[in-house]
Amino acid sequence: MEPLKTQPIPFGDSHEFHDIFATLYPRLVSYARRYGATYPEDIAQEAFVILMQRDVPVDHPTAYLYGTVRTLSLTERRPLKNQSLSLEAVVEPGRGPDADDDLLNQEVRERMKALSPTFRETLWLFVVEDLSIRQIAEILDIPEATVKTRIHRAKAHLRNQLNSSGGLHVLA
Amino acid sequence: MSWHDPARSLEPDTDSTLRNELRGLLGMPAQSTSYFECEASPDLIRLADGLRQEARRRNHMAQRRGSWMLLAAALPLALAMGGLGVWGLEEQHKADHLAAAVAQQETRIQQLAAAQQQQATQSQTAEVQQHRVPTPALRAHPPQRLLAGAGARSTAKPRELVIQVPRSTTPNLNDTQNVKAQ
Repeated sequence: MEPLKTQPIPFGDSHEFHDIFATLYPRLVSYARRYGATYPEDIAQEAFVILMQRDVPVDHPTAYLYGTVRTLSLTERRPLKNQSLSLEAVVEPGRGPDADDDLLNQEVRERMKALSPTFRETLWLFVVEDLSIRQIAEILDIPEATVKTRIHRAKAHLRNQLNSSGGLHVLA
Repeated sequence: MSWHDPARSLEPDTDSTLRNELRGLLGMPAQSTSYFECEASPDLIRLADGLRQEARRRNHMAQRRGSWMLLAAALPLALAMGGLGVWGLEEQHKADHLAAAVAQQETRIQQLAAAQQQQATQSQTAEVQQHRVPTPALRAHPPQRLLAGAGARSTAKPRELVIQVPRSTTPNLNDTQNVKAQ
């Protein structure tokens, strides 16, 4: 088989690409797993290939990767609807297997779980994945204002949660 | 395309404050901690290079597939055009043949018409010559000038001079010619 032509690296030099890949790949695998993907590694790798295949560069590659992983994970889950599986086998979006929740302590996990999946997803991207509001808006394909609203509502929800459990004074 | 995302680096302070505040509410440390810190291990580097190679291979395949698709799309068009061309040539050939046949037929008709006309002229000349020789009967009774309607003067019809004329080639019912009297 003839070797492929050497093309310019679309993401800077090899060293930069390796560093970025090492940083983003585990995040994307974790993100796919949270969406209940059966093969999160494959999905994360596919997202990288799709990004590198593009002729037109994207403005926010990180957001693009997250968005692709999200879409691929949801697409992977879609055929399950037509199969006679028990509901337990279908994982709710944003509530994937608990493996990655080990990253957070029990208290954080409990507080996160108390939120609705929509708020939890936004909050996860903002706080844990450390993404900007614009990036989250691109990933979820919603307006930035909606992201902000969700974050503020999640914050209010967390405050109420702490007030009812009497934990606010501890933070104060 | 750069990996350095301006959306993250140009984040307003309010968003950073909000993030820290949420961290506090969740019980996470306020300092930004990366939960996914990972060094570029040889395995990851190999994987990254493999994925990049795969992307190039797919691009290469997509380009080749694009060329084949274009060819496949153009082939029926080319065949149709070729077929039309052949059909057109055949039709033109047929039309040329027909035009030649028509021209030949026209020439033949013209020749026939000319021959017929010549024949008619000859027969007419012969007939005229035949009529110039007076017959004995005609010599005995030369044609008289008769006044038509001489016996019917009472009628309002104007008088007409009737002159007998020799039989012409054209059919005439009376073999006479009516001339109005002055």
